[in-house]
Amino acid sequence: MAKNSVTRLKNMSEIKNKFGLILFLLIIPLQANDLSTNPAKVLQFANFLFEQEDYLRAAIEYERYLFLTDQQNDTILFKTGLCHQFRQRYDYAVESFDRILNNQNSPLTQSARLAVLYNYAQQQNWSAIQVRGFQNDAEFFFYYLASLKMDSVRSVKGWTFNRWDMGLFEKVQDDSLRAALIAIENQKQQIKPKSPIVASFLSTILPGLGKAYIDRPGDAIFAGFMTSFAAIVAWRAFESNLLVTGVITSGMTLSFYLGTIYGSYIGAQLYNESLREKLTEKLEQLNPVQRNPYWLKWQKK
Amino acid sequence: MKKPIFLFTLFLLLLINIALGQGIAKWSGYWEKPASLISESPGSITYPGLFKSSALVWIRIYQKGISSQDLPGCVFHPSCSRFAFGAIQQAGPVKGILLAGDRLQRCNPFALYYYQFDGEKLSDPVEKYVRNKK
Repeated sequence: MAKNSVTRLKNMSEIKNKFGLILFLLIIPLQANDLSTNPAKVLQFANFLFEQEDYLRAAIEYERYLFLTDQQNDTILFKTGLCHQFRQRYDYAVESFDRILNNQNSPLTQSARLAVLYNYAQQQNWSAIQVRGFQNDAEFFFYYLASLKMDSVRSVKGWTFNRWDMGLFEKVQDDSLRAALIAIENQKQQIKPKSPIVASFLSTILPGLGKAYIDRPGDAIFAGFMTSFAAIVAWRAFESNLLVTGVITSGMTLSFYLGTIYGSYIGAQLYNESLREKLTEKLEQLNPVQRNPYWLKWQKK
Repeated sequence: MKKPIFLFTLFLLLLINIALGQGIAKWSGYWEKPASLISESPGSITYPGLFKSSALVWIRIYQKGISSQDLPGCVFHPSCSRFAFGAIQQAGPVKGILLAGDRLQRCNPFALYYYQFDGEKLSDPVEKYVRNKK
């Protein structure tokens, strides 16, 4: 009798355990369903991820929130754009910020425009920046930066940098920024890029002369020395009927000679690129976003 | 007497090129493309020509047979032979050889004044020159 009651009690406790387990398994999907379909909870979770700097997942949750609410929420769109920007997914970031610009009455229009330009600059999509134009000083900076980058790309093939219309600087409201930009523009005009064609022509006349033209006297000396040394060895080898040595050293002479010509051409292009880099480094110090990042206040929210 | 020896040497060189040419292509990842890429466009697989593979073979022979017997002496990173290998791979045999010839002349003590350090060596990647070419 006592045995029976014990086994019955055991069975009861097993049933209770099983029922508890089943209940638990039923609650989990309900809870999960609530987390993934309740917009308020999704937003709360997304904000939590944003604060934890888990930007990739935060962007997904913000997108989920926008999908669930099916409304244009500029604040959330801006944060989505920021998430993508911090993850260096600049094309996605531009897409998110652009969606804010669709709403013309949005208070975030100005910040979104700046964000778009900043992300284009990170992508080095200079032509897109030029297409957007400018509406204020901060945007003018990016417009000028883009024109400088585009200009110097052209100047690699030409003789000089293009002259900018100085009247455009009058549109800058901030006096200090205008003065700094004009100073950079004047500096740009004083720079004389080297012509790749002249460099290669000089190297054709005398191996290494093109290197001297692009301010590489050390390379010029070595180029002249090595080409002439290889040529002398080849000549001496043929003179001594050393056919294999002659052929090999002739090949070396030819590759040195033609290599100097081609190297001078490329070297002149790289020299012009370095001039551009020096100018853009100076210009980067004026970058309004670097000086006053627009995302700082959003990170605290 | 000398002419047949010269011709035989040339023939031998040609045989080595043909024998190793396709092998070097495999080493340098020509045939190691993802399966998805191959199924999408089977015609896009590029096999190196004889001239290109010959150049790559002789650079590899130099690297394995000669250069490996000595301490690294080149001032640049990547070294001149690796630069030549990369230049021929990326820019083709003609421009690659020209770039390699130019690089050998730039590998001099004055390079210290013209290039930035990347660790212990001076940085001069192939991409800098090949990107400019486009």
